[in-house]
Amino acid sequence: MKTNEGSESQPTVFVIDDDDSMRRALTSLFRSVGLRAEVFGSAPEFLQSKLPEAPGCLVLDIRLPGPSGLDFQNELAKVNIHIPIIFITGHGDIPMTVRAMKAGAVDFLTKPFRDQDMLDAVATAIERDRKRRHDEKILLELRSLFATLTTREQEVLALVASGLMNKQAAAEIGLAEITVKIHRGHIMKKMGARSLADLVRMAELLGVRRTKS
Amino acid sequence: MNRTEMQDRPPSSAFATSPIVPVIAGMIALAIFVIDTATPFDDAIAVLYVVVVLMASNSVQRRGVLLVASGCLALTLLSYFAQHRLAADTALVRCLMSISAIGATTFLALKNQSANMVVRERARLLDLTHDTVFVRDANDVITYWNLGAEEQYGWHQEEAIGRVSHELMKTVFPVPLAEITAELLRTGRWEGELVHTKRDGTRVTVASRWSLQKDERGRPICTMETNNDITERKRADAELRESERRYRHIFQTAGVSIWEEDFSQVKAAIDDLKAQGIREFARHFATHPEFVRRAIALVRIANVNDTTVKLLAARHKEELLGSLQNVFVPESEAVFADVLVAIAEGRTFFESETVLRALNGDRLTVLITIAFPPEPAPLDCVLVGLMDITERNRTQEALQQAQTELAHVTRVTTLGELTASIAHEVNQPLAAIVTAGEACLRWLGHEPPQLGEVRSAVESMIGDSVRASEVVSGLRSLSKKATPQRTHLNLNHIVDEVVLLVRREVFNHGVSLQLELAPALPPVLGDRVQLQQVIMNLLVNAIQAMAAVTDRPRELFVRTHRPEGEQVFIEVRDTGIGIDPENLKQLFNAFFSTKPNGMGMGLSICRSIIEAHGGRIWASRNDGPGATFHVTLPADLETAS
Repeated sequence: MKTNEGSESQPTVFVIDDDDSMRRALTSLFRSVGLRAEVFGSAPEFLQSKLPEAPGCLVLDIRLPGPSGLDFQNELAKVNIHIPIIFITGHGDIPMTVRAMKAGAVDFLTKPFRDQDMLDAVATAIERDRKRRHDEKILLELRSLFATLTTREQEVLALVASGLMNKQAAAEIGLAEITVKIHRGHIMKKMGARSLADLVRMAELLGVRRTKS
Repeated sequence: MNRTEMQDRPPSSAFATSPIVPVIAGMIALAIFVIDTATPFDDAIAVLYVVVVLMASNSVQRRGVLLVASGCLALTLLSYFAQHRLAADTALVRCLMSISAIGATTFLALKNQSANMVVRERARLLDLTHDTVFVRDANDVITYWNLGAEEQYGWHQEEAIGRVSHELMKTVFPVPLAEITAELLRTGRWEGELVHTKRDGTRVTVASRWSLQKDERGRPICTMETNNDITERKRADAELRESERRYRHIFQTAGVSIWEEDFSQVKAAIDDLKAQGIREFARHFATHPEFVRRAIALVRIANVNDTTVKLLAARHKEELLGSLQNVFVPESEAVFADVLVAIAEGRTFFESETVLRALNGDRLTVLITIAFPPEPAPLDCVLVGLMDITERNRTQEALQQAQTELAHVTRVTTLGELTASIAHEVNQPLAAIVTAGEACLRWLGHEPPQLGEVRSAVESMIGDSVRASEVVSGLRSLSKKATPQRTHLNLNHIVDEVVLLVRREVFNHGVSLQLELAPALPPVLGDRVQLQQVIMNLLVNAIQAMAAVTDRPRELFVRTHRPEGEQVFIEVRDTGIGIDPENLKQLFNAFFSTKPNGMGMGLSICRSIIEAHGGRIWASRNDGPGATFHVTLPADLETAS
């Protein structure tokens, strides 16, 4: 699956349902509120299409020809596609719902559903995707910044992020306190952190941990 | 007339034909001649020659008699001349006397002989007749016995003649002999039936005619009796009477209703039509109901039996005789038209089901059989048999009713198994309608309203509504309890309609359904719901047979085709668990099921439905995994063409 660089900003709703009427009705509904919609009759069809680099969500019928909607949800997770999923079904039962929600589904709607419920779920899902995409983007930037740090600076960052005072950190790695202070200044600058708290949050996002020696 | 005379008269007399007679006659003649010539008697010895002439007349023909007479005359003259030399004395007188005696005797003998010839000729004629003729005298002693009598009774004439006839033949008289004799004497004739015993002891019945011959003074001389053997005729008559009696008995007491009807006027009316050149009788009667009605009025009921009287609730049979109109109901006119066609075509047998009205107003369904005598009979006595099948039909109707209800129950049960998937099948379009409707409202809310979008959304909604209602109506017709109705159906449509209902079930079981429906399939005559039920049953069975299959694709293949001939075929093939060979035969039996919760009615109902449609259903094992169910139905080719 490739990403489409073009339609950056406009969110897209993907629909997988084997019922043609349902697909058409959903398309119409989403377009009426200004959402882009792309519809597919089956999961393989969806996988063959290009996903745009834009926030979006997947409206997925539980009963599908071939693998069921729930199986497909697992499959997507395995290949690291984290698109938020809204399940729709003719008749949902509780175990099915629980399983879907545990696997991270945004919502589980039973046909026929109220349009507002669907649109709310889609809005939530898109928001969640937007946020996920935003977080992912920030993390990506942080990682590249982190990569500009020297080994010593990365070491110091880990110690600072774990809450050690400059003196403690200096003692930990056998440096002068002043040296640690200079490193910290460089780190703050390189990472673009506005405060120590900011830096600690960044370290957390990056998953930088102090390694006990 | 005495016995001896009777014996002498016929030329066939044993004595007369004997070769000894001429010899004796010759010897007598010689003796007379010798005595006449050699002895000096003054008597007219030559007169004795008349004996020779008489003997000759009995044994030789006319010419022989003349010859013998001439010889005798010559001998007389010879004797005279030899003895008396033309002396005109008394000897000459004696000679002349002898000559006149011989001459007169010859004349009389010849006359008698020719009279005998006539009698002989007549007697020969009597022998020619096949009738038994004999003559008996006043004492009933047989004096004549013809060849017919010999053949009839077995006695030769020489055995019979001279015997008393009533003793010989042990005659049994119908009335005392005295009465018969009295009548004979009074009228000179008698006729009646007698029983005689033949020589071999068998008894014969004869029609006997007696005629009495009287002499000029009116005294009875003899009786001629002519007899005809009527034993055979009597027996045939008796058998006929017995047969008739038996027929009457059967007719009267038979447990089925039998009518004797006179169709002769109907036949005449039909013959008139034939004379007018009408050949297509079935069509003619269909287009001329007035003829049929007229023909009904022409039927005459001659007789009915007791069962008929009871069946039609009549008090006595006279109520039913005469016209057919009393019991006829208008809807039977079509059947009567068929009867007319049978008569017109000269058929000898007719059978049909029809309706009659009993005299108490009850309607009777009867099986009517008519035996027409073969052509060219006048059809004045036609036997019509009726069997009351009202009860039978009622039972049949009840049975059909029960079967319809059972079919309904199993149908609803099958539908019950499909409830979830059918509900989904309805819910799907409904959900689409709701969503499209809501989208529609949103498009209307745009500024300006997006009417193009509205239009296409509404169109979708309409399409989905139709789809949903099709499923619902299919479901409703299948769950309805209706009397089966025969209409012309395309099996492909039936398959499509059923697939609509089971599609989701097929899908839910991960079965791939493949249809191969033959184009231009001829229609079948049948009940839509029942045939849908059969196909639905087969499809659901196939799906269930594949539920346990995990190691191979679940494939359901439905095919319609028309092989050679007048059959339409449906085949339902699955890749399920298949059928055990020992179950193949009992598969269609009621209460046979391989499913733990199966009623065992489904396939049994399928079979009764298909057989009621004149078709056949059977199962076979596939070469590969699974089973195939086959259904054949007769194609309704008349409508197809």
